[in-house]
Amino acid sequence: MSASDVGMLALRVLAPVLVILIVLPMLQWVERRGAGLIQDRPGPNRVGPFGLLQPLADVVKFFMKEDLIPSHADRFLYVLAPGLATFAALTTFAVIPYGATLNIRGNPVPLVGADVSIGILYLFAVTSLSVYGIVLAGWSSNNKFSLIGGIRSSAQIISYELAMTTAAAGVILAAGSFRLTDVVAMQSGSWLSLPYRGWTVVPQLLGFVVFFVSAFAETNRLPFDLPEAEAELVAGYHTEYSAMKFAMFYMAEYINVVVASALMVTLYFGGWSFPGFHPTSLGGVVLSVLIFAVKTAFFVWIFMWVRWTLPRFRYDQLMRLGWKALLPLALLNLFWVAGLVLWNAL
Amino acid sequence: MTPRLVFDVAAGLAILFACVMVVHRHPVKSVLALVVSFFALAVTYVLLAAPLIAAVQVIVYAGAILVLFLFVLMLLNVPEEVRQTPDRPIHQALSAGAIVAFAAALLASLRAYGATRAAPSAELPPGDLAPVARLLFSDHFLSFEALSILLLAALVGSFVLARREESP
Amino acid sequence: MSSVETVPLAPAAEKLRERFARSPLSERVAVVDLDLPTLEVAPADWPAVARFLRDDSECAYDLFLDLAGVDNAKRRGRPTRFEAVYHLHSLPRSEHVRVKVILPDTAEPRLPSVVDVWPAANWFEREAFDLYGFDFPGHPNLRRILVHDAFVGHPLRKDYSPGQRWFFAEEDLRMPSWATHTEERAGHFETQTLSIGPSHPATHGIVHLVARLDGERIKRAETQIGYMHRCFEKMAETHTWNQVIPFCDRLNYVSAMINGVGYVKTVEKMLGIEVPDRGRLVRTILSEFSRIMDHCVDIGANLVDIGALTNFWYLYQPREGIYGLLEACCGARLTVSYVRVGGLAIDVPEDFVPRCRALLESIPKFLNDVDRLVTRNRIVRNRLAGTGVITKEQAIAWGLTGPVLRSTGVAYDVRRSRPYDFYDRFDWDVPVATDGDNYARYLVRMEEMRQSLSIIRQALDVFPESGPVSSDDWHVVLPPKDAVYHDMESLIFHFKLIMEGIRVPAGERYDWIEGANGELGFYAISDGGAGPYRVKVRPPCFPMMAAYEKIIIGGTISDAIATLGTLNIIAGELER
Repeated sequence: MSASDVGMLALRVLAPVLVILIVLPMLQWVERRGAGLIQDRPGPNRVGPFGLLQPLADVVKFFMKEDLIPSHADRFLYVLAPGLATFAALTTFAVIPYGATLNIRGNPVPLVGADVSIGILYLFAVTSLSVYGIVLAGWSSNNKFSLIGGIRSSAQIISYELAMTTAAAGVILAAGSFRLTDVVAMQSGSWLSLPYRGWTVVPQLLGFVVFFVSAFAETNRLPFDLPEAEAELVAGYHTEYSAMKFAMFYMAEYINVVVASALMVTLYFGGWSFPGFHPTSLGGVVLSVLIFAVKTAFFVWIFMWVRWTLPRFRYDQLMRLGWKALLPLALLNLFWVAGLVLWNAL
Repeated sequence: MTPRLVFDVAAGLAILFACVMVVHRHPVKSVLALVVSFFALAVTYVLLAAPLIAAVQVIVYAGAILVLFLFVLMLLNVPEEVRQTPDRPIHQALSAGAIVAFAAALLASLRAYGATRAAPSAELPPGDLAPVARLLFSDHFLSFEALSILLLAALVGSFVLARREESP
Repeated sequence: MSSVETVPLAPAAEKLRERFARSPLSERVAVVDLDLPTLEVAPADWPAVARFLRDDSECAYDLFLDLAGVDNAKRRGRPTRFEAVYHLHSLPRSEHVRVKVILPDTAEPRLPSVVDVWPAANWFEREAFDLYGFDFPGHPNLRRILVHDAFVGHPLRKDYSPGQRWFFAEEDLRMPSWATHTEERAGHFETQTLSIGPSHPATHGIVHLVARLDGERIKRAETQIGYMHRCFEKMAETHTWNQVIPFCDRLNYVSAMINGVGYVKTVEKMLGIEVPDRGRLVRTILSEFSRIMDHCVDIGANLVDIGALTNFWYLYQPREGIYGLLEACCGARLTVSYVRVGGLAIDVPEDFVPRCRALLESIPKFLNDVDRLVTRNRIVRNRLAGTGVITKEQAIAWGLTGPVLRSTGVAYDVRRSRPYDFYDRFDWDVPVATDGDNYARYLVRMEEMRQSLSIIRQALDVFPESGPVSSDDWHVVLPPKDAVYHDMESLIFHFKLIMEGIRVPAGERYDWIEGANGELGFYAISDGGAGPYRVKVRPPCFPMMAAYEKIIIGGTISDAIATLGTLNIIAGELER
């Protein structure tokens, strides 16, 4: 492995992470201004033009705040939990292809952190670990509200992971591969041919709906924000957290939103591809990255939109929805896709 | 970093945290030690060119089953175990003897196995689900289905038991 | 006590006496004719009388409204020092009645508890125990409620010196006995005790709920209040009649105007003066606007508690507009202090009518927005429908009034059943739902806002262009400044009113108004002095909060939070 190869690899892996870290504060601005737009009020508009510097001020604030560790908390896990949450969130992005294949001096460089053969499985493995951050935060705070938040979170994420994975299995079945670049390649063909090679969302609308709903539950966003449910559990699992540790949970939530959106785009909306667009030149590749970004941004906005529109489920209703509605629907979708694959329609 | 080095570190961690799991007196910490141990195991699976098994190991064991463990522990709010009065010397001696005997038996069988069989990784091309699936649904079809029925029975059984407790 | 029976009585009281004549109790009760038909009974007879009042088909006083203790130590003309004054209402016959239990002068005033007759009496008896030291043998849980457990003495007794201070330390905090020991039932391991409040985002004030949870289901609960007790009633006794008005604003501070109107209406009836139509119409219009505001805040906050933040902002827009109107009228927004005995503090601004009409135009838009977002939303329905259910019988037994009672199917609204001001002349409906759950309460409140808008519209149609807003009885109302400067007599009236205050003839009165939360009653006693001898508020929240710990049993924490929101507990009014 030459030095340039290592550099290229580092760039491939780090570029999306860096972009996310830069985009995060902007997302926060979008969320708050968006909330203002939806709620008939201005939103933050004091720091900088249109309040654009507000996220910067917030970051400074988070750094300057006193970092409290409750005396009754389990110190080691209390400190570990926010790091775990952020780490798990950040590492998921490694396998998502964010652009077409770049050609550098004859070497094809796929724009993906790591084009591993078990891409989707890796993703689910890491996201399934992200629950530990929340559960441990809830438990180590040694506070009843936090504990209930942690308990809710563990049960919720396991339940919805099942539906989510089963829905994604439909896409895997159609692509015949765990590799996410294969999934995107499968969707960049013709919409009219048989077997169908357009965006997966068309034949697998049901699976997409299940995946979409589960993604909200997996990211703990309204209407599934039961682990933090501020009116019931004060702030749920992060009640006792302050300063940067709190900010890390906050970041993890936004990263998870971005990852979930990117995953939805990759699995169901063709990733970086666009009908009739086959990038070959450098400009085309840049355009493909942009397409991917725009699609992802769209879903991120939907996450925010839903948050300011819907109220929260109750715990038992959430469980009922997960097990009695989403899981059967996901299985139904799996059978449907299996049938399509069997008859060579996919 | 050679694969050998990675293996040594991963295997060492797996054993170390398995021991922590047994020794630690706080149930929640024990579960967490087991999570680390499972992770280290997953790394060794990757080294064995079985990334699929590694991913399944993490998703199913670390990501689901142990989370359920935690869920139950947290729901019951199990406190740290209090150290019992020290066992009598005869008990300690017996336990030590049993451990040594078990370790010896394990080593012996491993030696015998290592001599007769090649590494199983050759059967499975890296990361491919198809061979695994073929094995599961053809050669081992009966045992696979029997296993799922066993699990189903366990599921139904636990359900019945849980229900019975609730009714009075 | 039979001496008074020879006095001729008004028809209502005469009827009450006739009813008692048929019962074996007739010898032992005295019927007196005051503003309400009033019974006087001895403590020993009280449970039997109570049962008769509730069960007799011609009495049927099924709704327990209020219990006020009275200390007659500094008042002449009463036989003994302590009286317990009950106010009851008969839903089938739309009648109020007052019962005075005359307590003999003993070291410890004692009277039997009537919790088994009207469960609503529970907290009211605790309050009388707390503030007056009345003992209620037979009460299930007789302990302090408004003042804290480290308090010594009974603050509303006339011989209690208000200068004393009692400090409350953490170790004085009382937890229910079932909450402190860990296991209720051996082998049942999944319960834990959760303290929600006193400071918790959902209490919107300071209320302490101790709950025993099985998983997330509430097995047992107890509410503790008193964190916001401000001795309104004690303060009222040391101020003049008009000086009490600002305190009233702080009862239900979300709809401050209504409280003031209720209070001055009581005093005006004691004085026997009439407020000009224009003044009464302004009171009606602003009261109805306040009711809209109150319902907006309640629904908004309730939706926040179930996670729908956006509606909160939508519902705050009408509230903001109404605050603007109140500010234009009197300069204040939240605690308006706009009413005075005999009328209003000042006339309304010139653009009052167009301002009101503009609000009538803008408010429905926001209500419709919320309606579209919430009313048929599946998640909202799942969260609210079927949770926090109160049956009709429970609601009556617990003494609930207002939207909560109407959501169970009882169309009791004092604006309709005991009309005051112009409510009998306007065309409006009393919205009623039948399910008695959180969703029904939400629907009733939404519809009540629309009815209020309709009332305001009709009031504006008959609103006189000009004219006085206050009475011209200068013994009560300050003469205009102009006259004070140029006219000797007016100057004297001004001086007397400022220096001495209003003189209300000795007597007592219970008067009522439909507050945003239900029947808001004021029971005022005057001994002819410069200020009230006793003012007792009948806060609609109080019986609701008492019922809360029963309503939430069996539901989850989430349901309990939603229920707290739809009951619309306002700590200022609850604890006075």
